[in-house]
Amino acid sequence: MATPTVPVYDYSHAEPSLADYTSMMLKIYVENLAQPSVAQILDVGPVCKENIMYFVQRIKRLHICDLFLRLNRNRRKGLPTKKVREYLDYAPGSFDGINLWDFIDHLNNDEIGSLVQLCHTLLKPRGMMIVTSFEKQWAPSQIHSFVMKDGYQITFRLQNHLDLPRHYYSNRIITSILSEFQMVKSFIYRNGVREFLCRRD
Amino acid sequence: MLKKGKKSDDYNGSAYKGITEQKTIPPVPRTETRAESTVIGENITIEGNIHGNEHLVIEGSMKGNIEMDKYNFAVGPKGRVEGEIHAQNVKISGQMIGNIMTKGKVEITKEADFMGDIRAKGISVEDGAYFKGSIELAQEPHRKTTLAEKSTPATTAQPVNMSKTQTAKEDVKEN
Repeated sequence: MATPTVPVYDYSHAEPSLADYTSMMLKIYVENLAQPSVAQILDVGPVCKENIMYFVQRIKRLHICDLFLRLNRNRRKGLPTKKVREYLDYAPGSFDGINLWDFIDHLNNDEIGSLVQLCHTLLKPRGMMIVTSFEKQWAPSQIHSFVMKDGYQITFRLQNHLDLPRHYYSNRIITSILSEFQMVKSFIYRNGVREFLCRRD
Repeated sequence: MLKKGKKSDDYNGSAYKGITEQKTIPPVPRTETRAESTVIGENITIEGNIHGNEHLVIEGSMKGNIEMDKYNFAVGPKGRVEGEIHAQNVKISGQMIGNIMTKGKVEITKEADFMGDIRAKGISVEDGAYFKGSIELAQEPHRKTTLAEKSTPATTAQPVNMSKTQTAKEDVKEN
């Protein structure tokens, strides 16, 4: 009689991979948005139909401004980089939530600070912002969208049309950049994803 | 050039298929089941409003509002439209600035460059679409789900199968 084998997962020699994961940050985010029926959320991309459907079925209005594509278009055409904040020309206090999926990794230090400051302005009081970033050794060279599934599952889809340089920011730098916010929770996963959920006071 | 009575296969591109194929659009008035459409050609520029009783495809330039509540509207890959759209179903593959209000579905393809607000019963946006705007899904009030309703909330973090998913360590430490 064969002895049942217990699978052993050894990550010590694993190549960087984008394994699916269950996002605890997303769970807290969606469960704590005040008044979902009137909530408005801003997503800065990449455009992802699953994520659009996820939110439009649950909130009042989803705003999309795909900053990945805008930066990518400028880069490909050799145009001077427009400041990210110039694309986000929304009124202060417009949003209950802002989604920054893997976006800060594609900005330089100055631009992140400027973006985060703007997001703070664009959020309503008690509004929340989600930020994801990759650990250095796990960061994929290409851009993937974080595809939201039921049960707070996240899968990844390669965005071949996007080509932006990636920077690495340590936890210390990220938490420092987000210091204007109240940090609700942060997580780190075995696939190298770091999640930060913060709230405007 | 204005073309009438074209079928989807004649448009020489899949970007238009959704506008005429019966499988991909909600039921339309019986007189329209032959999938007749008017096509505004690449070299046509229109300024002014359009009220229509048949499907319309813009391959040229159009500045003005479009009212065709029971019929479908599409902007082809080379089309440019600036105005407000009221139509049954809308498909955008070209450039468009303006708001869209439909009783059916809006489809934004990856070739699209769209800026505006959408209110529709259904929405489909392809990866790569150049999109700035907002989306509001028209639903019956009693069907609007609560934010977390569709997910499977748990009061505590659940152990998960490591072969498929990743667990988290809470509280990222400074490094």
